[in-house]
Amino acid sequence: MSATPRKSKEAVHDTEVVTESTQAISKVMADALGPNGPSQHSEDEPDNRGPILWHLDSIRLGRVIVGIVSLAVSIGYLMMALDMPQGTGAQPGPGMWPVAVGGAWIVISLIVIGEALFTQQVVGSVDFPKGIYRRDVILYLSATLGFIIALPWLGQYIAAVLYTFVLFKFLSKLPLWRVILNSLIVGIGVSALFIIVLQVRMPKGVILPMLGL
Amino acid sequence: MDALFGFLGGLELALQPELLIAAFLGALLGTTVGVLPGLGPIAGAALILPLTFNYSPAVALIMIAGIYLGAQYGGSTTSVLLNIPGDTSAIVATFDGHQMAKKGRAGAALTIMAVGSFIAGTIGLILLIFSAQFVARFAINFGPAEYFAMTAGGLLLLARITGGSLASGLLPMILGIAMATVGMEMATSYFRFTFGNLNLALGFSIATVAVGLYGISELAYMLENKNRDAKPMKVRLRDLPPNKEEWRRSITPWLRGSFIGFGFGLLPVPSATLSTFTSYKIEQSVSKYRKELGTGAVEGIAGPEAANNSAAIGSMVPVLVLGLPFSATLALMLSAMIVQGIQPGPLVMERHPDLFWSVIAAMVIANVMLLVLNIPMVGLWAQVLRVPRHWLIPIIMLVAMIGAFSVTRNQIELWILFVVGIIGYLLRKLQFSLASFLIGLVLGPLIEKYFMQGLFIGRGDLGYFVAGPISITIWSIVGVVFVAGLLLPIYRWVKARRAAARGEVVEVKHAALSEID
Repeated sequence: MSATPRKSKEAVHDTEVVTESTQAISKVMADALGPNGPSQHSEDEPDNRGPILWHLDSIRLGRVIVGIVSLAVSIGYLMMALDMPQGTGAQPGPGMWPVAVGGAWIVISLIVIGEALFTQQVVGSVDFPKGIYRRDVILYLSATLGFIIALPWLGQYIAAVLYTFVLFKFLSKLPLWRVILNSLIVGIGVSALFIIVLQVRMPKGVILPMLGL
Repeated sequence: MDALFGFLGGLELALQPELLIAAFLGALLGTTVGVLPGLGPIAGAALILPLTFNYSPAVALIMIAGIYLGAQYGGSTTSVLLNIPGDTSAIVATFDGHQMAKKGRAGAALTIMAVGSFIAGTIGLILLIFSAQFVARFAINFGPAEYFAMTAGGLLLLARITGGSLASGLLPMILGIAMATVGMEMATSYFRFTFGNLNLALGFSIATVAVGLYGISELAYMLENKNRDAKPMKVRLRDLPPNKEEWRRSITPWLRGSFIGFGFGLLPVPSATLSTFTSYKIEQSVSKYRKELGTGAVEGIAGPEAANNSAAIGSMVPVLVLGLPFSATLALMLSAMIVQGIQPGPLVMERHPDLFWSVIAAMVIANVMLLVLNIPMVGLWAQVLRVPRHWLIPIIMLVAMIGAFSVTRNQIELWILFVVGIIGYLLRKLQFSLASFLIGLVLGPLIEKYFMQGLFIGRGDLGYFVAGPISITIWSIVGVVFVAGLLLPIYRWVKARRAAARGEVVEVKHAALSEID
């Protein structure tokens, strides 16, 4: 009975060593060949026939998309810049510099696309968070967006308390009464520090003035 | 002697309560953001920048300088205690620092790092005091062509070197420069890219963009960090003093690191990070105990830690004397000068000597404060690592959003903060360099100004920009770096193919296998 688990442990260990060896060799080979070298393909990797875009890893694909968006925006930027007064070489107008920037932006956007499509300077997969980590990031960004939308209506104090409440509630395992207490302390405390002590003017919203506060 | 008298005058000013408090708060906040994994000096400076607009220019500059120096002190604490570097300049500290901690020498490692930082800071400041006037005198005859070459050429070099690949640095750089063109053009009062929205007339606030780029995206990174709940080792006060042998072995690496770091600080490169790797490499070559490096050798932390602090001081020379920031934190420092109505450049020393020397003197004071804050209170900084993220994130975000709103007291600042934060997060995920984004935004208007002045003086002749020896030298260096950047990968690829044809790859395989064995 005891031999079987030891055997399987050994097998697992052997598999790990082989995997490590393969990875190490791939790394050394990749280093030796440099970033522009021909790509290494394992059996798991797809066959590289067909359009190049289909075989890009997620970082390269992401960079192609960023490059295309950047190219579109830069063309729009250049067109707007060309509509501005250009002046002359000796008396440059306000549009001359943006034209130069727009031209450079278009070239750089093409470099981004070309680099992602035809070289392996930057490769890999985008490590977007997964599971609970993804939930926390989405929650944090959504709460921040909610705060920005609510601020003019609720005012700094109420919006800050609600914002901290959401973050305490979902990022901690504290009981509800502690969440409420902490969010009141942080939300009101930080806001009061800036509004009362440092004299920063923040939106009052519509609720507190209605209550005469 | 002028420098010494200037410094003594600055010291008198820096001892006034307002500037002392600014130095202390900067040092404290800097150490805090340095200690906290995920947050760095850029986020710290970005958070504090809008709040400094109500105070004198010296307060703003001293606080940002204090944050920059403090973050270098604090950044390595997590490297030692958690094996997680606080920022990129603290990566090297994990090699031997954490190994020392595993051997029960965490306290000694932290003390050696703090004392080394202090020594390097002091050496760096002495070099800064005596080199600043020389550089300023040299630069005072520069015209628009030289400034254009230094700002545009320096930015291109920085984008090329920090980015890794060509596109990784250039795209964020041009995004920053393009964003800087939004708003009213100062010479003609012409509105550019505002789409009729008066809220954009003043352009994008650097403070808001910086908080969005680094604040929002760094907190998102903190949340998705799988080590976010890691607990650091405990460090007791009695564990702090290094033994005689450790003190003795630290001295020469500290001195070597200090000079290496200062030299790197003067260059348009990510100086704090590069100087630590260079210092480590040099210790590997020249140290008597080089065989111990990587196993918890004192030299592996003493040299690099001194180097990154000295680099931070050295990088103040270009920003304070020439108005050229070579890091995102220093770009914020330059932005603080511009917002406060101070024209950056070599004339700062002449026109605002009180400001210049009080900032330098306050940095000396901040360096002493940091030593006091870091050695006896190292246990406290280890406790900071235990503060749960559900406390940190709401507090930091509320401060960030209030700070951004206070810039123009306009809701649009919060929208810019959020959108730029999302863009920054995505660009980081795709391995673009954000530093060149922010520096592009800060330097963009200056580059445009020098470009326009150059065209005006040269009567539209572009040859004016390469007429002097300084501008020719700078553009030649830029050209060499870019051409080399294009040719080197091709050369490596050809070399590798030839090697493969000769069957050398088989040897490489054997080498890899023997390494694993």
